[in-house]
Amino acid sequence: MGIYILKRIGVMLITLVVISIIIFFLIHMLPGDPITILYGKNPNPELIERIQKFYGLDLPIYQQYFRWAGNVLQGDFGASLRDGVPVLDLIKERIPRTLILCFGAIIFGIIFSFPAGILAAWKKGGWLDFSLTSYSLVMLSVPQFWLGLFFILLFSYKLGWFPSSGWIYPGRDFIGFLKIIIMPIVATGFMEAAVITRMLRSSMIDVLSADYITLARAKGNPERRVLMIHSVRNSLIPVITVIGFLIGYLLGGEIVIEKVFNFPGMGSLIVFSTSFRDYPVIQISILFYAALFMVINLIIDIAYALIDPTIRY
Amino acid sequence: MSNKSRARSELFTRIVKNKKLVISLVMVTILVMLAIFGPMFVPYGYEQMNTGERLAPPNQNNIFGTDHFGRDLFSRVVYGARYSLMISLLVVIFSNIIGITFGVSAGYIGGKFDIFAMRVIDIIFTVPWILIAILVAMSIGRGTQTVIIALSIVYSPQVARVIRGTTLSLKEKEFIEAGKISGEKSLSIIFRYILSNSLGPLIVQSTMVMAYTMLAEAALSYLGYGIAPPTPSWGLLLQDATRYYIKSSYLVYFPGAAIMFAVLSFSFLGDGLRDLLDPKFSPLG
Repeated sequence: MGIYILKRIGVMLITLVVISIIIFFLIHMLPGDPITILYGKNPNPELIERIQKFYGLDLPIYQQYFRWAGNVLQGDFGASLRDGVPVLDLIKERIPRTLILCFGAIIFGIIFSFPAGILAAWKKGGWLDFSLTSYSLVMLSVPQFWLGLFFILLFSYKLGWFPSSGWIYPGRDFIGFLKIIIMPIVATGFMEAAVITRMLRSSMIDVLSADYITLARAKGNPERRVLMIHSVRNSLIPVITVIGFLIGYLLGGEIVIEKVFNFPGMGSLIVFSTSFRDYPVIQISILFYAALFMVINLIIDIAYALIDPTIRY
Repeated sequence: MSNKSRARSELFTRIVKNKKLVISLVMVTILVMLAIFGPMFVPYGYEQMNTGERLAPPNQNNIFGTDHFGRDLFSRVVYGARYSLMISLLVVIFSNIIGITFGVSAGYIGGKFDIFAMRVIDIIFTVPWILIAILVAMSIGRGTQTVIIALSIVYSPQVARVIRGTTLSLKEKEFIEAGKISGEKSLSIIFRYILSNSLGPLIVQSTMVMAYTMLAEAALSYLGYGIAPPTPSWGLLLQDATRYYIKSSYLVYFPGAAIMFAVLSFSFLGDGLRDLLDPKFSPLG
């Protein structure tokens, strides 16, 4: 297990280096340089030269990469070209916010989908099964950001329950914080719930027809125990796989949702910095986003091994 | 009745019995008809501005209302069907071409090439899809081609994985050995035996990619990385609405409903086809 984790971390680091090279070269081959965007079309040539010297923009591109990579390895992530704020500060502040949305959505999805999936499988073929399955199909077909827009219309403007955008620190006003995060979480969580419900339902149906379940029933176990103890645990493996898959989609979806709700997380940082060609911020934030994704996936794979004792790495 | 026609009629009963498949085929047919013929019958062009009636709510002349330029939303949604379907279809075609080439050669050649190809795919999988799209958009700018290129890159690894799996399992079969011994060229073996036997999973995968692409296109266009105006894709209609939707909520409802209908019909179709082609396959996601 230890060796497996080390190997995975090794692959992760290699992937991150590859991504960093791709991003770096891609960004620097783009038309439109940040100086023009920041200082207008005809800035003073002396100023340009000084800025280029300062940021090393006059060096050949591979040297720029090594310079940048060396700085990053030494913990110097650079500063935003726009306002000079250190990139690390920006990211440190925003990663927890995006993680709150992500895990909120997954927790919402799990809370919502477990009863739904178990019930649908137990009453397979009944009206409850039919309505839960069709409900989850509909939820899979709605763009998450559209659901977000709809929530804003309904809950912010019609009913006035929740603010439509912004951020409040939980330490300052916890209720206000909850009100801010609830709509983005539910807007993405519905889709998570739909996918997990479908997966749990089909894997429960398989398990419920297995011999050991018949045996458990024949031994006189109460139905609730058969469902909760014998079936659910054995249905979990595919469900966890799906949760792992979902994280990729979730982190993708989060970028869009953050824009809908003007939520100051990693997603809006990426969107904002790409529109300003703020190189240092784009590079680091995309790398962190990818790293976040990989770390979460690694955790999921470790969780596998813990739940299913037959998996040995 | 000959064997062939019996098999055909059996297939027909299986299709008709599969309610999901029948419903989704009807839905997809409606959608395709709308995309091909709809624009001939809509009252206005998608760019036609009628400035007297900006942001008019649904009424007799404009049954879906008008947008901030006074363009008829109904006409734009109908045109949007054409663009959204076309984009999704192109993504399906390109991701299949890339994915099949990669997957078949990885499975067929095997060895180091296989390991290398799978590593590349692993790397693509470790990057959230939207970042790939953003990088493509940053390098070539927003537009229809950006969406098509980005999403083809995003979805081809899935095709490659499916096809590599079937290639690996088919490679050892006797009929392929027989073909090799009788001197058939690799390319003809690939086309005649491997691809024809992988058609089922590929078709199912493709309908799913159709559905995903519509959602992804909408998201990318909404973020401003996707389709550029005035092309009326459904995602762009939603982006157009962002500044006005609080007062004119119909701007959000109609394109959203169109996306939902399209995605629903294709994911339904994928489900139905999967049941038809491989009843044992577990419905994932």
